Amino acid sequence: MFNHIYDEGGVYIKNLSNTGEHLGISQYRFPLNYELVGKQFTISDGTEKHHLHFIRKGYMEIDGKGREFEALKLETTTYFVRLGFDVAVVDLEQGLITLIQKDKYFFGRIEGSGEYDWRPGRGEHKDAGDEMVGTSVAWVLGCDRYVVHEFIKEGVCRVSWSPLREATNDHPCRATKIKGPLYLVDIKGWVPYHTCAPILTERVIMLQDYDHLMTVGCVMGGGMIPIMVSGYARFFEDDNIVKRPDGTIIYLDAAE
Amino acid sequence: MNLKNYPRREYAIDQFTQPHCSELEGESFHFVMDDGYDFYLNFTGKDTLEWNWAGEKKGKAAYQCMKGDDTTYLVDYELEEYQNTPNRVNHLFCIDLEQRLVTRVVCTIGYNPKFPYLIKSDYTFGAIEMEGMELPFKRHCFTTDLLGTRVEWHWSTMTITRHMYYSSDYYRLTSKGSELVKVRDDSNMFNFLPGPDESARYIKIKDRLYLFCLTEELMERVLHETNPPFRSNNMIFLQNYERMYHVGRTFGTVLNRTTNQLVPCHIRFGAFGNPVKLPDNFENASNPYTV
Repeated sequence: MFNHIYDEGGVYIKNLSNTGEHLGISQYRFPLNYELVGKQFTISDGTEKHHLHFIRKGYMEIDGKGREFEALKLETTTYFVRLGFDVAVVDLEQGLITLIQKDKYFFGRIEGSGEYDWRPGRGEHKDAGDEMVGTSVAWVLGCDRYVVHEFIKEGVCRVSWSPLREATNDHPCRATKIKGPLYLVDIKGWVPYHTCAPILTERVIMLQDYDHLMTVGCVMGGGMIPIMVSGYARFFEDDNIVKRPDGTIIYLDAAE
Repeated sequence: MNLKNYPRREYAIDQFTQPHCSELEGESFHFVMDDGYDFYLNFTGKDTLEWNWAGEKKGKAAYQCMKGDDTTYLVDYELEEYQNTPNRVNHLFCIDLEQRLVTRVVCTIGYNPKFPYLIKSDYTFGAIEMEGMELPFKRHCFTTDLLGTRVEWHWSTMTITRHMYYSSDYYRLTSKGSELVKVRDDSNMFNFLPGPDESARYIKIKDRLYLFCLTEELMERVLHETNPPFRSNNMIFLQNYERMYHVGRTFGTVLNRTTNQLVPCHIRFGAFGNPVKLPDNFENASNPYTV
């Protein structure tokens, strides 16, 4: 890691923007969020119930069984939470929690907690169907580290990782609509060697916000500790367009 | 549906803003400040707080809060009594719970009789009193650590600025592709400035975490008669060079292009960083604002 450059006289000049390389695809990970600490939720889908109790920073219990947890906040009332090797999306605005335990999806409604209870008319987390088909986006997770998602048809996402954009693979994908522009995307599949993603990667779950064009999520695989990630959207076809701070737009490939 | 075309509002520098953080709700702080004017903050709600200088009556305010790392918070609010007046006041705190330190910035508009939109910023360092623990003697501090850093900030999918930190009192700004623009037309206010430099201060919070504070003061002095879009905004960035992002807020006055009226500006912002190589002629140009 080199965080210095030489000036013409051979003097070291620090450059702090070169110091983040060791964090890999977790480089842009947002600060962990602790707003859920102290809260507990009972969730039900009408036939089954679960109880989530966020006891202290980093530790929670689900149905009385202890888990370590990490939470990232993407939007004012929506959290992506890793519960050990499982995942939850906590949506306090609608009173809904989606729980992913291994391959099982549980769409729960919060009940009995008062302030955050689900109420009729509040909406639901549901399968996104083909809503994302046609979307092609790169999620930049660190300096020059990104994953490209092309939703080519319902249930299939074409994925490539930097720097090998041409090494695409079609992976099974499950998309869940959380609300408005927020989608939960769950993609299973391997990654090629020599990319920015760990070679052990088997599954990527991301909560994607198509309003702010940011994401938070988790990269998982056998034998590795899940990696929490955050990042922003990049559309390669717009790479030649720059909007300057005063609002003027310039085209980098324009003749003038 | 190609969600690239989701009907979102037009964002300026606030698209990649991290969400408001309400973790401090229920917390109370006593800040022991080096200038002798201690300060109290009591977070009464998810976005409401009470504040007071030691020995003085409490005020209430709506605050906004973001985190620069897991234990460092950037909190700011406007004083209600001065809102909708020419003399708006903003309090900003960088609350560092890991080291029990605090930096306070008080920004005031309207102190300069010739340039009524100019902002004065007063910086004070201090420590956070915590029961059963001695006050730390270390402090956040002004620093030269950032000098030499060149960084590209991605504020939205299309807004990308480039910063060059080269002096303790100034920084230099450009945007991606600006070197290609040769036409000095009215569409770009930056073309009418003598140079891309602006007033700045640099504060070290901890290793790889810095407060970068700029005020569009030179721009206001040069361009004020032309009523440019930005009128001396004060922007404070909490920059995390471990993670390569920043969060921050801007406070000041902007031009509403629809109504052509000057309106208060006070928003949160955020961006993701990238190393960048800047053109030599940009890096080596002299600062036209200094002797």
